[in-house]
Amino acid sequence: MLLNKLSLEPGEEILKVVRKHWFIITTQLIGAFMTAIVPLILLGFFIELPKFVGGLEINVGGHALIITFGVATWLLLSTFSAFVVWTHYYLDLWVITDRRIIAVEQIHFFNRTVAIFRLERMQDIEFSIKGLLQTFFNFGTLSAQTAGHLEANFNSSGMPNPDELQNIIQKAMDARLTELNNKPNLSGASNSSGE
Amino acid sequence: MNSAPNVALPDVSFLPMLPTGDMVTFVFYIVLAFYAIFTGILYYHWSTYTSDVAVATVTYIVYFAITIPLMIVIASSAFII
Repeated sequence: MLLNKLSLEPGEEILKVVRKHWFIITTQLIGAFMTAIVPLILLGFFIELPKFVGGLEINVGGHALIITFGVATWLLLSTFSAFVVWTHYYLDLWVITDRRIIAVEQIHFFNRTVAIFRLERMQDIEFSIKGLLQTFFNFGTLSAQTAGHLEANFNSSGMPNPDELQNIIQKAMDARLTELNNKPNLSGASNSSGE
Repeated sequence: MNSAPNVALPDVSFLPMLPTGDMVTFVFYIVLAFYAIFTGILYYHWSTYTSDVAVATVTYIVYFAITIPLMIVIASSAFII
């Protein structure tokens, strides 16, 4: 299971697990459904066509088995497509903990990236909601900048309630920095160097 | 002079001409192999990367509830043809 593989640190608490907005998967599933019904529409069209074109005769019943084979195969492939969409939607997620943000991106079946960003190294987090649909359904792109120049900044589109996510991450960042500043210096090094 | 172009069709007599039933059966075996591979990949991803076992279980149930009847229809029509 994913959460076992993430191996949270001792005492680390998951604040929120976020997936893309439902509108994203709905549009993709509608696309898969529309693809699935194409042969049925064509079949209906060819059955009804002789009624409108005089003298035309199409013997659909004579090829019932091969049509059934073709349509069922097409529906099977469309089902695969729908499950690919669902799998990518569900396995693509952000795990926000009180110490880190773990961004899991499932691009394809064999293309998966897991990026971990520590909250104390994050500098800025911002969101953008662009366009009518994003405004209406309240989703947008969330992006964050990290302090280290070697670390990549990250952004993710289609995130639900981006303003709420920004607040959660900002509060977690503040809490983490406060926790680190208040932590006693266990290494024994003194701060009395006059700096 | 207006003469018809002399276009010779390529000789394809060397190609094996399978009956329709055999071709459909051949396609069925390809579909079956693809189904097995896809199911394996899907199962691997859901068993390895899911964050909720219940969702994975429901996904398996829905997947097989849709695809097994379709495979039965495909197999039946392929072997009857």
